[in-house]
Amino acid sequence: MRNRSLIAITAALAAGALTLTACGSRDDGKGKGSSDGGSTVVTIGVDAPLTGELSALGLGIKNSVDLAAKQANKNKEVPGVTFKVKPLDDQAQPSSGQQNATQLVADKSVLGVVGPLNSSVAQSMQKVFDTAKLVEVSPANTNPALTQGEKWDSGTKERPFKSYFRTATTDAIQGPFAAQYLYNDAKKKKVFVIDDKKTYGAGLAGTFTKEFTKLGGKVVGTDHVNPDTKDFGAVVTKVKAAKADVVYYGGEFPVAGPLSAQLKKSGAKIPLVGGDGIYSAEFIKLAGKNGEGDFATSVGAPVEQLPSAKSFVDNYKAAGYKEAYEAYGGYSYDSAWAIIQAVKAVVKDGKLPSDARAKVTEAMQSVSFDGVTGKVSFDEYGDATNKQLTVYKVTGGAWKPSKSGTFEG
Amino acid sequence: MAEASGGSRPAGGIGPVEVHADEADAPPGEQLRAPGGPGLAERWAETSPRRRRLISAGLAVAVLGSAAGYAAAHRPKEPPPPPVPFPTTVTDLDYEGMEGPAAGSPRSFSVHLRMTVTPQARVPVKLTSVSQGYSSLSTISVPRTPISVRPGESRSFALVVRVGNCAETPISADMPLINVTLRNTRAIRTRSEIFGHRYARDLTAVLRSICPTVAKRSRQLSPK
Repeated sequence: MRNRSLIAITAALAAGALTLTACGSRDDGKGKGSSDGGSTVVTIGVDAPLTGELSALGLGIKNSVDLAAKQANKNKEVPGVTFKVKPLDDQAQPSSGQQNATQLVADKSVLGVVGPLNSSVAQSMQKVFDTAKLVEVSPANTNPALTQGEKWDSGTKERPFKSYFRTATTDAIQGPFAAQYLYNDAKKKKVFVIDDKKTYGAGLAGTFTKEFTKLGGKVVGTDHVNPDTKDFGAVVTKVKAAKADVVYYGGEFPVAGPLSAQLKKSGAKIPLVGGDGIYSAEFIKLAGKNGEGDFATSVGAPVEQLPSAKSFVDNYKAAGYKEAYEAYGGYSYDSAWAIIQAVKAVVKDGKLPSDARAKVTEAMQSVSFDGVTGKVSFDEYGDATNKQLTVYKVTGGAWKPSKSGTFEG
Repeated sequence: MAEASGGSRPAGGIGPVEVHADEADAPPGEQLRAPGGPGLAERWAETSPRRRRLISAGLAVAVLGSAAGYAAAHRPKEPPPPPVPFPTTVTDLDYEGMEGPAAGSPRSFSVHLRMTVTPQARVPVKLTSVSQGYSSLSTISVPRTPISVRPGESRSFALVVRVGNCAETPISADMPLINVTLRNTRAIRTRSEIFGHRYARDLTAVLRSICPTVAKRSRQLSPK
């Protein structure tokens, strides 16, 4: 009798323990997020250069995504869902980006990725994400081919990957906008065009050159630079010999800053102009006083003109991040918020569907909200419908907005 | 020398007026008494009912008024209303079409635009100037600027453009733009409107018909 009672109690305890164990393991590896004390955990991946020369931009991206996740959790934006952020460093290298894409795909709690910064890195990641139907929203890629296909320039647009979106506008608009400004407003007629031979820099220089020429401007010389070297004596000599009245640089600030400084020190007192890749406080540090009068175009309208941007700036400051949000902070916040809204669209009673990644990707196409950078939504190619640009000029040691443009086409 | 009543004072001297021991020890009610006169309680008792009512009402008003003033001074301040948005953030301009060259004016054409101000604008937005930005194209609006649009409304208008030197026209530009200046009670802002491929295509077509010699050169640059 006593033995039977003991056996019964032991059996009951064992059954109870097994039941609790079964309840604890709900991860079945189908991209369903994971459980965290009753709340479904969804991870937003971030891929950006967190170390290296472009880390100032990459850390601004990472922090802004983190801020969006924190705000979503605080406000219970998606009831029953807690957002986490998983940042990975690609060091602006395509090979690292591809490895990171594989890693993010393998983590089933990841339902969306913000990044990358560089168009060349995006080219190595798109297919990996698309095969896994994992949505990717870049706050910074501007090469048109990423959304419109390789033949976009000849008028044949075809979207290569339905899982790729971006909140920044493209060089198809940025380059010509700079050309219009320099030719009509700044009255520059003879340009020397330099680029770093990378996807972004060469592409931007190309769209700029085409429009500048069509307006009647003259390209008096072209050259390429190696971003790994910082001695630009040879190209500066060519610029002076060509008697250009402006230099257009397709590339990023680690090269643009020293290039501008060396150009002015050589006696060529002409402005250097670039795109969003040079629009950074780091450019002004690197160029020093020689950067005064240089120009950059960047995506978006000036922050001071958007009330939603002011809230972002205040919240970012209150969160105490060490690094500035830089050029892509607002776009990164909006990219993360777009993922959050897409997740919200597919969640029911705090639970994700079995094919969550595919459903989130599908929902992204219909996302629409008033974000930090204005209205956020996407066209049939995954491009932002809100296409705003600003020309900034270095004035008194800081970037100041000079002119804004909005693309309505 | 007369002696003061009600107390023992030194006879023959005036001395300092000092509280006598018997007055200092008197009950509080009696200490309110002016020396030699009736106390407040006695005077209240002697006051007529009507006068008593008037005094009570006056005191009540004074107390209530003080309380109200205190509450007003310490009331939590309401936040000020948000500032009016910048004019560029609440205004859209759309390209609606192009006409020309005009029959009686072979070097002129018209660009039709629509300006819309969102309801969030709160105050009207004025279009105070509009230009093509190219030295060879002079522009006037019809109606003339300023053109005012109220929040939640839209208004069509036209730009009449006259072509000067054909060689300097943006005959094959991919992204020609129009510069507008918008104003409201908050700020004046200038913005470039980039109307995209349809506008670029229509502009190229009309400029080629007005400037056929230059058109030939432009086809070599951009065979659209």
